[in-house]
Amino acid sequence: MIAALGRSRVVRDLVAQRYVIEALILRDVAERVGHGRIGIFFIFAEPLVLGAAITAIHSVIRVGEFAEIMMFYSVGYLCFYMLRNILNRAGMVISVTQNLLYHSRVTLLSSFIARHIVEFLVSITVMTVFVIAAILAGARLPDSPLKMISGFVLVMLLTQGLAFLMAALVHEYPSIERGAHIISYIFLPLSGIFFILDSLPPPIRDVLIWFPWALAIDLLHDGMAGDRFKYHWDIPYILGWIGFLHLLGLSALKRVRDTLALD
Amino acid sequence: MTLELNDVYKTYRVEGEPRTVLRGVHLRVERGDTIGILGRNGAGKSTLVRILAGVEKPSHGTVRRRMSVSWPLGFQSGFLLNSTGMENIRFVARLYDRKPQRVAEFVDDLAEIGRYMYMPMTTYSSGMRTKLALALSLAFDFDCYLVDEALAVADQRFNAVIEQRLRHSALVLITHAPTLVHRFCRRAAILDAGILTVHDDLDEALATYNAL
Repeated sequence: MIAALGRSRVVRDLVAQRYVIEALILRDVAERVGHGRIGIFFIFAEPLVLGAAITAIHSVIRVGEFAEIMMFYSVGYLCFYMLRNILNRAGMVISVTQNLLYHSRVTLLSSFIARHIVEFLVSITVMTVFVIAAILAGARLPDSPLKMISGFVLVMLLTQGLAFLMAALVHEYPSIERGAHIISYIFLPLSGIFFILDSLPPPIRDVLIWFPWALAIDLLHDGMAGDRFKYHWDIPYILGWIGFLHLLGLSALKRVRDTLALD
Repeated sequence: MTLELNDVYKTYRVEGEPRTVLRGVHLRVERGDTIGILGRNGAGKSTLVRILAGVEKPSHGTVRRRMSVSWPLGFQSGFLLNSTGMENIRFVARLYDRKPQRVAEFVDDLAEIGRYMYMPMTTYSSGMRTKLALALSLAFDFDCYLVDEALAVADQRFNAVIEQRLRHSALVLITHAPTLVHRFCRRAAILDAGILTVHDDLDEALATYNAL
């Protein structure tokens, strides 16, 4: 009986969290858009313009067909764009959520998840635009959209776990906040966003295949290019990392929550 | 249905030094209870509000919440001032899974926001913001309302709604003003240097507080 009551409460809390996350998503969007609806355009314009710029640079310095280059680099760039935004914003999520905690339904976790959903949706929307544009320009159809999306989701989940951890660290040691964004640049070479993992020189490749982000993006590349290359992704290994990072990150967040002191 | 604080201590680190603000607070609020908590500046009132609201956790002791407790009535820091009153109302309504339009109508009736409802809150006078915040808190049903000074600005219309709410719900009023406690509460407690003393007799509590 008591167990049943406990369960129904868990279910009720989960249902409530759905509304909370919905509300927080709309608030996050409203905050970014600002007053005046032109803001919604800028949310998408930034990744669009940067994706196009990256494509332009690579189509000049690399040999190969323009459409294929656009597909490869814009998709890679948008992975990085999402990752960078999630990590860079992680440091301020706790401080901007603090006051909302007076609404007992709002939790730090729901605030992070709402923001990550927004980042995910913006990036995947713009990514879809680029993929369609590349196909129209003559690129080959992606081998498996499902693999591409799975890879992208795994990148998001890995980054989310790391974001929890970083947010807790920044909260504990505010002086590191200014340097926290540096970490996202470490991902630029390590995550394999701009190359196919298998085409690296073996000594470097053999190190990078332990890096879960590189493997998740390898899965995405598999979905994009299919059997033109050889791949190394390993989903249980990536999921293991996601679990590990979430465990670590969430316990760090809980510690922050238990000692949180509002001004 | 109760809200119970058991031997609650709260210690903050201020410049590396521990500072204890609440020292062994016991409090039990039942449904229908109306209790005033009186304290001078620096007695630990705001800390107690944050613990009761659940936004901060005690350093020691337990808080048992077996009823829904409101956010502090008239709480304003959650507003996005660049958004309109309506957008802010919509956000809170969504959080609690209530129809935004219904909540907005209630708020407008009570706070008389009128055409400002669709203007950014930066254009509001501070009185308007306060009224909107207070009306918004009253638009929701809670088992226990937590009030932190805010009632000072309430006019006749607000008082009527508050009195109606208190017929079914509990009230914890935390203030430095004995007149408010006298008006809304049946019993009172005094918070002094982090120690809470509950009096069952209201007059006795007020007399003790005035003698502090």
